[in-house]
Amino acid sequence: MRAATLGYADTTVLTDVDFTISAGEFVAIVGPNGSGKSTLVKAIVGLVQRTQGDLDLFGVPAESFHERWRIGYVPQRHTPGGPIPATVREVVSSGRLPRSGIWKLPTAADRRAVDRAMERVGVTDLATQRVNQLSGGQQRRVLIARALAAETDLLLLDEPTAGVDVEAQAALVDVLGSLSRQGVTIAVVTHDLEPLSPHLTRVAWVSHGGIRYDGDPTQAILLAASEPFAHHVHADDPPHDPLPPDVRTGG
Amino acid sequence: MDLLPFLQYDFMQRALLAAVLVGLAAPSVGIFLVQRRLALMGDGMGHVALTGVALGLLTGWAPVWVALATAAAGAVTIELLRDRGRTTSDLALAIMFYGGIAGGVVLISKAPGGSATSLNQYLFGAITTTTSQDLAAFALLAALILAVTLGLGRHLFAVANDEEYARASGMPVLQLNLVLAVLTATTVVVSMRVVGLLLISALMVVPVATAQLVATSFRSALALSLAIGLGCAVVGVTASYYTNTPSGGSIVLTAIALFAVTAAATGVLRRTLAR
Repeated sequence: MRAATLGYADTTVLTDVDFTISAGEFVAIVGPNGSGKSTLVKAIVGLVQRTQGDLDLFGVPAESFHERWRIGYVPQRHTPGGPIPATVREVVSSGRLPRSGIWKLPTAADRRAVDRAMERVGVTDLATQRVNQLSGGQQRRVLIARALAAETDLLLLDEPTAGVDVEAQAALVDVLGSLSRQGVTIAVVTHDLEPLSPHLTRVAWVSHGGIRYDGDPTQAILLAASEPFAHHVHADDPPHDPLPPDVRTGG
Repeated sequence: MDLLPFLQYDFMQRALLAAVLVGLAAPSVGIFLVQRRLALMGDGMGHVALTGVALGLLTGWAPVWVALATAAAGAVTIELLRDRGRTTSDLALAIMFYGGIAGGVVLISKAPGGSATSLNQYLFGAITTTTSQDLAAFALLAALILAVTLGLGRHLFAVANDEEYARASGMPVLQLNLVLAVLTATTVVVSMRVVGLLLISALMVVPVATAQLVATSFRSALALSLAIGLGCAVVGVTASYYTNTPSGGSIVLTAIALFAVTAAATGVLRRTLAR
């Protein structure tokens, strides 16, 4: 993404954004509430308008990129769907459709990809269960499996650990770490930098309408872990180099 | 012994066939509307179709096809308005409700032979007046509805279940929503002689509401909805013959009674299992 301005209808959220995700990276996107972290991720998958600048997806301009299934998006909320129950397998299988095409019946390869996606996040045993009866953490894993079902190259997750208990959070982080080791490129919007720290290769800090820090996560994680919680009151302070104090809110 | 003696009458044979077609077609579309939380979409379309019927009576063109064209145009308009975020779903539906019914009432008053009786036929259904020609048209449309909903079912489910995800992953969301909107309009037209424009939505929604109480998956909910829709349509038409009551109301009351019984039974079962 180069010199991009992103926003909704008449509201500009981020300006002059330069942001690249390279193959194999595990990037955490952090920042205060309402800073535009989710906007950045949504702009990559076309859910948020880009009024200026360029966006290339896998080296191709977004407007002429036709393999959107290569990006697996995991939205922020937990439970997908309406009042009619859907099983884990049905929801994960729906993630295969963008790749398999509209007029084709599911093939053996499609079914294998769905099985593999469920296996990778550890929900195979839940395949026939109704998604709305699962815990928050399990539902998150189902949504990650859905995003993986198309055999995606890039996984974009919007606050996957928000609203789940500590145990489920640890299980989710393990899943993401394992996927990263298997070669999946991951960018994750999060408020909680610390649990992800062993796996991260980069941290991007979004604040005051732009990306204020983008680089090695080590210092960010150390600072976030060492600073007392009292520093959170400075969450909206202007950022400083090399690491804005706001990053400390991640801890 | 003849189990269904009324089938000796041609008009009842046609009535039952029309009910079977509607019983299958309405829930097959309704399930996706319910999942998208647009359960009242059928009502909105029914009101717009009334304007089409009135237009047909006024111009002398076949009311069924004019109603289809009008309802489909309304459906596409509402979907495009939603897609562009110009208005919310409930506001757009409300405008359709009022505009459709007002247009229908005004136009039908100007139609040659337009009267309260002809209006009632469409508002509340008149299944026994179904002609062989009507039946052929309904069969064609119902087959089309079932073929499309079953053929595109996985994609319609994906969009209904999580539209944001479907958009993000590059699925043709607008096109699929437009297909569903046109299918809804078509179902309304197929159903208007059987249950009436004011009750169409009930046959799209109530069998689905009953099915979701007991279904263990979306697929089983779809199969159950079709079975319940079919069963209620046949039982309702049969009951209307013996009790000399309107077919539309009888079908819908049958569906609601089944929903009430199922809801009560599943509630008791849940409480028993919880102890």
